[in-house]
Amino acid sequence: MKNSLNILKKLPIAVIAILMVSIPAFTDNNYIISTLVYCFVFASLAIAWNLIGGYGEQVSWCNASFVAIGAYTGMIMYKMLGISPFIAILVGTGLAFIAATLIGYGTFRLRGIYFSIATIAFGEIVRISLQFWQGLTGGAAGYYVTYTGQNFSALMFKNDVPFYYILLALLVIVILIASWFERSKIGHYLSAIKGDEDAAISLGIDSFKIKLTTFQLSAVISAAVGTFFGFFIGFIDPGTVSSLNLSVKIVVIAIIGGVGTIWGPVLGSFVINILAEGLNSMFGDVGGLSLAVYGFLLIVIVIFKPAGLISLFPKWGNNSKSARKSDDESTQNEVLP
Amino acid sequence: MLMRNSVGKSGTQIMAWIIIQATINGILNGGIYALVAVGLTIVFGVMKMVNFATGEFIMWGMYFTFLLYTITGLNNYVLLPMVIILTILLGLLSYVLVIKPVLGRDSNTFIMVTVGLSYLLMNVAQMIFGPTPKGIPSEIKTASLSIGTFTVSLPRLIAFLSACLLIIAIQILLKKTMLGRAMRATAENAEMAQVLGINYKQVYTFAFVLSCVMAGVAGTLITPIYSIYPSLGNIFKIIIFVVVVLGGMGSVSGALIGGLLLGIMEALVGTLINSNLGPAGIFVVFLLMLYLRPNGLFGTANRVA
Repeated sequence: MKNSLNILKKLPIAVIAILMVSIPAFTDNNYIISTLVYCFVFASLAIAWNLIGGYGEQVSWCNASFVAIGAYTGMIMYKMLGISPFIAILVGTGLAFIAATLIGYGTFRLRGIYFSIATIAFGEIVRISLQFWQGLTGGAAGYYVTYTGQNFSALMFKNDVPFYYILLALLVIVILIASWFERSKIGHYLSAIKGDEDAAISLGIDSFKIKLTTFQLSAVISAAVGTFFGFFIGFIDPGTVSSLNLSVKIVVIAIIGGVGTIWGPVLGSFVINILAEGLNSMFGDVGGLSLAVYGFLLIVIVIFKPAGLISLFPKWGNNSKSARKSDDESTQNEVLP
Repeated sequence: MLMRNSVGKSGTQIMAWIIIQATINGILNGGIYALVAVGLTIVFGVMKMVNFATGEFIMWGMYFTFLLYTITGLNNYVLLPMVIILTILLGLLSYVLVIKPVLGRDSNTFIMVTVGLSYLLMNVAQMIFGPTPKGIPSEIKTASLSIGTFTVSLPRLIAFLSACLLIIAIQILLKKTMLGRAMRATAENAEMAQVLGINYKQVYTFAFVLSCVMAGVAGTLITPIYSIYPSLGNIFKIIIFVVVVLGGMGSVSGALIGGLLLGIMEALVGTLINSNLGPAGIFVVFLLMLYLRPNGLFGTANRVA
């Protein structure tokens, strides 16, 4: 019984995996390929956010800043020092790790909304810094690397198909990390903290350390994805990779898909990215439309379907957790230090 | 620009002049921060929620003023009552459609819906008015008073004084009226207040709409100072959060002092180091605060409106 359920659960994943791997063989339409690359990138980013924001219920609004740290580090190191992004990724993730430690160290000792506010503040610091240190980052005008012919170690390709496979592979790795995390000790501790922080602490769980480690993991993944994302779009500026808009997009994707699940953010990413492309092609360049839609969807989903779209497929999301969560949210005892 | 009055004086004198002038500008700005922060503090105290859309109500207050100016041609101070009515409507609408359905859920839910609301409000403004900054032409824009060698910009002074008056009025409302007592009781203990016959839903509605109106009024007051654009609320919002944390989350006098301090800090960093770094200076101070004095400068966390 349990075995057949498991196969049933894994069959659609296998079908989708085969489909995903073979898509570039069927189409040479670069637009479709690049839209799918966006879906992969944002699925990875939303899964990374979901670790701290979903499993840990600590809402971060600065994950775009980690993306920016990864992207800028990768491109600056390549352009100035000629270092391959595959090596620069180590530096980028290291910097993101340090940044997450700085934010988390100050705020995870406190409960309530301090963490959320601090992440918004940190996001602004990064954006303003990127604009200010023009000599290094190109300032508001942005930063780019010039195409010098196909070169794998410099992540330069004449079309987006190699990026498609690289970011698909990265997404698979991120999904594996998340499913490891879900079943790991730290994941279980985190869900205990989410359920009742005081009880968890009284059982000897170091709530501060667990949250900090989770946030560091989330930041490191985001920065790694950011490095590849930067080379994929080829041109980065503080507005595209480091804005609150991007952070909000990541959060909206995770929430619409379903927080606290692995497949929720993946589903959310395809829904939101394809919706955004659809809106763009239907209404053209109406400034603000897609962001207004994100805001609207965020409100509607949180009010009416807090477990996200994934809850429509009960076999997929591990909904025992998220469903329970939405049921007993009747408490509103905000605990202040 | 700052050196204009200082030609021929010694270095230290010039420095002192610059610092005092920056402090004056900072205090005047801080009054506006305090006004919005007091609104946010009241909502936090009464409803235990943070309204992440506060900045967008400032921005809509400005656009309402701009809209009414375009229709009537009157100056922004005369339009204030009309703007108040419009922000009351917008606040009520937001409350009923967005806040009321999630009452009783956890604080993350409030964060999510109010961020959603802020994005909706910001981008609807962009769709209606476009991304180009708008301004309201008036003579008062450049008017200023001279006190000794120092200059005080008139619109900033008016905004500061009006903000102070409003904060005093709200203190009186909280301390002397039945409604204020009901709000303070709800902030202290919502269940007990309910047992005592206070309709907490009415209190919530009032607190939320009041904070929207305070943000909207702040918006009208600053139309002669800032140009109006859709994402203006973002930068304000972050400053206001910092003020509220600085003041100790939930204390009205803390928010007032926090606002003034932050205004001064921003002006000093902006003048002495680099005007682009003013906001960044604030955030660095804020992150430091979280390490050193998380309960606010005066350690009065948990005190309520």
